[in-house]
Amino acid sequence: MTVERTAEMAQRPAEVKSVNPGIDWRGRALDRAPFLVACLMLALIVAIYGSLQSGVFTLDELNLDTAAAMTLMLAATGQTIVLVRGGIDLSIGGMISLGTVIAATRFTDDPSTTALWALAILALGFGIGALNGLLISLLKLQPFLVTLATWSILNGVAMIILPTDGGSIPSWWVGFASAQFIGLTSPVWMLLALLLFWWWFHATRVGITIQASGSNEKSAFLSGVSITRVNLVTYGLSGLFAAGAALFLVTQTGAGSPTIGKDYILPSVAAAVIGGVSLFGGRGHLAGTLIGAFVLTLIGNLVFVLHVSSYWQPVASGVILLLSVLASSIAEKAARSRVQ
Amino acid sequence: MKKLSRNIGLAALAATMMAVGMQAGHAEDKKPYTIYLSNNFVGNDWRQQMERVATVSVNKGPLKGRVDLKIENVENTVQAQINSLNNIIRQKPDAILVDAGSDSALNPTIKKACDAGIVVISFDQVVTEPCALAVASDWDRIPSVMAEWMATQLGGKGNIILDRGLAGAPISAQLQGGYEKVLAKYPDIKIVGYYNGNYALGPEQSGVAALLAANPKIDGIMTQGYGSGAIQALKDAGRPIVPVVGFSYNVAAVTCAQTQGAKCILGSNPAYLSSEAIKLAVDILDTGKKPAERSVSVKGDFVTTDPFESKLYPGTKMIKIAIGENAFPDQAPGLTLPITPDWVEITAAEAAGSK
Repeated sequence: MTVERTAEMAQRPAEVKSVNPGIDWRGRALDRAPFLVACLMLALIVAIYGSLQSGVFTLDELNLDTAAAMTLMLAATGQTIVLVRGGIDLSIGGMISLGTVIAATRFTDDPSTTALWALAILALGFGIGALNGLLISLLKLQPFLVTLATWSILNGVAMIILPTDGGSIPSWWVGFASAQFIGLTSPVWMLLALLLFWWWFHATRVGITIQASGSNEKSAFLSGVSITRVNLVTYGLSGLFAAGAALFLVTQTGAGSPTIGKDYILPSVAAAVIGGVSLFGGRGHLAGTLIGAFVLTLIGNLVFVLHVSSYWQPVASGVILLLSVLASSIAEKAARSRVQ
Repeated sequence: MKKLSRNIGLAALAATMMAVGMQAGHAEDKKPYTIYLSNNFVGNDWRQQMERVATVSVNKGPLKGRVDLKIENVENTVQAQINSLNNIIRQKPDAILVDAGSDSALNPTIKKACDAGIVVISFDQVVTEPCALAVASDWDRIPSVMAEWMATQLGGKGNIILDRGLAGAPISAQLQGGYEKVLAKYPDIKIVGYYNGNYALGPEQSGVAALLAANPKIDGIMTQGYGSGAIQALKDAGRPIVPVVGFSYNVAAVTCAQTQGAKCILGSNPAYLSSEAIKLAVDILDTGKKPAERSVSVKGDFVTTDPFESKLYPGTKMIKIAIGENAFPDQAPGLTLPITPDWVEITAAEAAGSK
């Protein structure tokens, strides 16, 4: 009961409503400004891309781009949960690498063995994430430092298992990414599943508690929330999604790589921030993050069809990131001034 | 009779010329092949030279007008190269050349390109996917010939120090193993010390300097890097300039040529691997025939002050270092030699991008 009340208090729209019983359209728009900016960016990129390349507005294009973005989307889903909690998880880089090398050395043509190992990888992801959460709570350490350390450890273990890129992934597992159901490939269905997951999760007791402790840890604690348990679940889920990202990534690479995970750490944070997730916790929606992941992926396509140097890709990503942060900060200030 | 035979000869000549002319005409009539070059990394001299010579080699010589070459660089992540390759495949080019960020993680994407009927050639950092050809230097030949040269220089007797390269890098272990395997055949040659040169001048110079201080008698130095750092360390220590093995960077060739008494052999991983991959792609597209073996090894000539006849690899070509001809004091130190394959003439300035 106390938990729910705190959560309600922590949700700014609820507070705003209590201050101003009428519909505060301006406030709502400002609250969603970062998300709206992300949607606008995506629309703009798709429009430019569509005008330069034929066949952009087709299911094939959706299938291709979702497959290209799905590893990042899975990693960023975990990161979003952690960011909403007010933390950050660098260890997903190590978990993704570790997941791919375990898969590449253990998966066989026998589906039941492979399924067991896949489950083991997911369980390992949750377990290592939960350990991150425990260390952060019990030792009262910065999430940045704890997850930096576990990233390094996981990386090392991945190198021990498979020192260089290689191993093999059974072809039926690789084929999963291009498997179709009613014209849509499995990555598109995964995208829908992620959205459904969030729609369900953010309203659950756990989801609300995570958001509440991200918004104001002290008041959450005072109203009886176990911060240790919140951290355990938050980072556990992040590790679980990182493991999922690894399992999807190997459908793209067909191999394990002990170093590949680092390429997803900062982009996962960037995707979330572009999508309007606050780095200070308490605010964010997975739909925004997924749009952010699309934006980051489609910039690559845009650079390709524009025939400009690939150096423009990081430049464009950076500019978009800045715009998003700007939009977030405006929204943040507006929200604060309304509360006061 | 004489006249007749001359006429037959002329007719044959004319027929041949016509055939050649027709062939050339045929080739020129055709639309140029669209060939993409996917490169995962541009952060060093070699990759930049590789891209420049690729461009030069389709703008002159036999491939002029035959290839529409498009270079796609990606920022050193496997995911980016996969996404870029997927974009390339959708353009339905005739061929894709790949300098890969991973020998295995691009395989499903490369298979997809092959299945779409695109000729795929991996070069330099090659891939393991069997449908793609693999154009690379012969990394067994290079260290073997260089170690054999060293043994010849030393008359099969002496103390040498050896560069282990970069810890953990597969190529470092391969080069070290290649050196040691050949040197082991000479019981009077002793390896008295190892250092890690890290393929950079600084670590090479300090690594050699430390071993020189510890060993009063060093008769030869096997580097995996520039070799010029080793020569500098010898000079700094006031020691005699002993034979040095290294790789064919411009700075190494220039230092060898300009240092009194220096003897060097420089192995080459030529940057024109890209040009060779393009030529191979055009040959395959012209004839519709792939080479029988998927691995195609490019044998870059050794650059040396003292050419010799290799017994391990008979017929290995050696170029004698000559300032202005194959060593260029006015060009970038990181330029890789030799500059040009024999079927097209690429100048040092073109390769260095300094014209």
